[in-house]
Amino acid sequence: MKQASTHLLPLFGLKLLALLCLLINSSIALGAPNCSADALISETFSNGAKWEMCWESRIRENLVLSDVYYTPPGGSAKRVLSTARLSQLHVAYDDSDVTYNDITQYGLGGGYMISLDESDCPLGELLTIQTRPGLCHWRSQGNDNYRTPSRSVSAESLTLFSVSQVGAYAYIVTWKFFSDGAISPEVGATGALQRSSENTELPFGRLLSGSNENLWLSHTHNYYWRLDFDLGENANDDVVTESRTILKETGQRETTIERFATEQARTVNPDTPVAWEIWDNLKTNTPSAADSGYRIEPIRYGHRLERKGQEPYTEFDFFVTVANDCERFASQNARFNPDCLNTVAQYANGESLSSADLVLWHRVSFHHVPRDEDQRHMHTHWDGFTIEPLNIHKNTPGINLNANSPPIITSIDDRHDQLGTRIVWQLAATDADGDGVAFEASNLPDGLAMSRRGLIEGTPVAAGKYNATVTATDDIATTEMQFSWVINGDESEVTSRGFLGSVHAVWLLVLSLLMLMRNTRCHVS
Amino acid sequence: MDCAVGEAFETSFDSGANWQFCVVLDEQHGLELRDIHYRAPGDFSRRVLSHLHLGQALVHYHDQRQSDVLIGENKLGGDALRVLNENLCDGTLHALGDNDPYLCSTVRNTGLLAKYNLRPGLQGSQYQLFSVSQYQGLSFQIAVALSEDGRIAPSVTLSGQSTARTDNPAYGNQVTDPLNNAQIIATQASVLYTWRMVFAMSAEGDNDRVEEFNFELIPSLDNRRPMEITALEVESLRKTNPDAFRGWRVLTDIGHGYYLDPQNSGFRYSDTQNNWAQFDLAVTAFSECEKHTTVKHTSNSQTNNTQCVGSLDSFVNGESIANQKPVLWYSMSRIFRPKAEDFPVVSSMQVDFEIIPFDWTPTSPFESTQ
Repeated sequence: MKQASTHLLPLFGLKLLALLCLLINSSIALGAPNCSADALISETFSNGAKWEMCWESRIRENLVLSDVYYTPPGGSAKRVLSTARLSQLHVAYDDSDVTYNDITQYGLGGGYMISLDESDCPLGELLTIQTRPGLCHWRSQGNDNYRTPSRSVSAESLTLFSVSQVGAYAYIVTWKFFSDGAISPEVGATGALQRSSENTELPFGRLLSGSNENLWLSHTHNYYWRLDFDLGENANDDVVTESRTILKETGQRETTIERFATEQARTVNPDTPVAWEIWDNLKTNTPSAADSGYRIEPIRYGHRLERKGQEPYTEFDFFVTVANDCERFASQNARFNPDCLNTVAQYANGESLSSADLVLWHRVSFHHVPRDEDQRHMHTHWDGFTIEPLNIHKNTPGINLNANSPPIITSIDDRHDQLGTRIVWQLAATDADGDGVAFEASNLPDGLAMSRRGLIEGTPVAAGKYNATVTATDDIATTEMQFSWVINGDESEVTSRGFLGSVHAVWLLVLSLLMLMRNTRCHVS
Repeated sequence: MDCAVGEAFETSFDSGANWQFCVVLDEQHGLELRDIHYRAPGDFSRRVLSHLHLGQALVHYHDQRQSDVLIGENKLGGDALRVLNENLCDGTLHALGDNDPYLCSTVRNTGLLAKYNLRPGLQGSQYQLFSVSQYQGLSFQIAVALSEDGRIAPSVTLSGQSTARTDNPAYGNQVTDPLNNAQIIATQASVLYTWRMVFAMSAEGDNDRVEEFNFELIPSLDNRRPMEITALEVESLRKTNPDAFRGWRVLTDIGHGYYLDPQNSGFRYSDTQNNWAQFDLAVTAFSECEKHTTVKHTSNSQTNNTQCVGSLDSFVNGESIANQKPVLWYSMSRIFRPKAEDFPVVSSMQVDFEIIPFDWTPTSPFESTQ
């Protein structure tokens, strides 16, 4: 029996492994997060787009999202993120006496998480963290998704937030998932000012109205997000590129694309704008229309805290590293993981990104100068960024091309007009969807122009035959119609008409002269 | 309120906060708000700005040598304005006088305005007024949002059709045209929006001052960052300085003011044709005819004066701004990098900023309601 079992075990193990692989593959093929029902969040929007993910609360980071899947309208679910979370909340005061790393020194979860009620989440649903209502799940209208002449569509969003009280500050850690596939991690800073000095002569803060005894100190909030992307079926085939645009002496702007081969730490420079893109299984160095992924642009960079002598990792704004469970926090990581490196800049130590699971770290800073309005409780200041979809959809999300009817231009017959005759001609088009229609024209007779509303106006100044083209668009589909437009007459005629107005004007002038002569004659008689 | 020009608008919030202003649709720049007054809860109504409008919009297709100048050489007002209807406005439609409805206003919940520990959360609201202008196939939603807590947030949102194509991938992105499945290289474009803000907070309207705040790191002082406030007393062109947390404040002679924090300034435009475009901020003394960054035609709206011809480069000529209404021209840039999601209609690309009350009230005006 023992002998038999030793032969059978490897075989059984292989079968088990195969079964596990099958299960894993089938779970990926199903395109669904893997968690219990109470940890699952699923939201389907009116355009058919869907977001699904698992969530949990941790003592340090509080809200951690995992297994984040997006289903485009009319498409199938694809995994976007393995995990997403705020990985440090670094607060540096201008007097340099105190620096806080709130997530590792205190935490956003556990006792620091505030119980929410309806006043905090009036339009959403409260979810329970352990025994307390701690997460607001809110479906809201966002800004424009797109705008055509006839439609303005707002992007809906699934908004998730929790609030943590760390010292005097209350942080609203928020994730928004939009119906156009975009994701916006945000943090709102509210609560009350934390630190003041009795030395009111110091140049590191401001005296606020009503008190000359305390100087409230200016400070910077530096938010670090950790995004473990797993695009598509294979977590280890993602590729990160940087698009950098420069103005050439010729006046043109050229964009170069760098494919990152090893771990990176990057700095934002507004004079050479960049965008970072993460692609699913990019085969070449230059992405084509068939490649898809997500893009991060460092828009919110009016402030950036850099003090590399004291904290070298603050020199950089964006990092790409190979996923490592050991690398959890952007700073003070060794505090909880003693055998691991301590900061995100140390994680970016040249490891190859090829065939690896990639993590993007992004930093956004906000410098807070105290103002009277911060007393006693501050209005929320929001900071964050957007992760936008890149060729994830086949076309503008929410537009069903198959369901859209193109405009139909009301029949235009070939036309003949006389040189010098003023023309005012309103074209018309219908649209079965009721969309508004905008017109354009090319090769109209010289002297004529058409407005976007389809009104052709002017006076032809050159005779000839013109093969004119009119297009009508509802911003989704365009219809074109050509017709022949003959302008009769010759240029000298135009000149004389230009001078006297028209043939009728000439006759009127002759008639007037005759009348004048007759009247004069009568008067004389 | 009475409007010398345009029509009066007013919006109030449950907290007692209130905004009043006049609205004009200018032939060149389209939407303009005048005499903007804010009343914080429990406060009285006070003027913040006498004029707020787009002073320029540049679009630079990356394969071209020059930018398209949308105000001055083209226009965003007049027949570039789109008539709005219920499909284009999920709020209230507005028509000025006998005109078509070119304006839409909305009111939205903006989430937690303030929260402290277990005290009930205070929800915030925002009123937004916008118009939509058309340039070639592109649409520009020009908006001003006025928040319950006194913030003013102008924005421009790009959408519509992008028809520019190139053969050179250095100037564009490869995408598939969904209407015919053709592989194309859609041209990238940089946009620059410059907002003109005429401050008039002082009682007399012309005593406002402008200050620049810097917080330079001094390594030799144990990495401290002393606050340095410099009065901008003459017209000047300024750049953001993210490492020094640079910002600008406009304040009255008794210290009430607004702060411009250039948070959304990750991109700088630069331009071989327009020197001023490399700067993020220009400060000038008020001049009725200096409405746009580029004034090339004397026949432009209300500029029938040869002195008006010029650009922001010539408007900034060292003139003192003491005892004059200070004008802040704030510029923001973004790059449109085409992707499948931008065809057939460009996914909206919003560029915005805000100015916030700074010592406008002695405490949070919502304190009594919390």
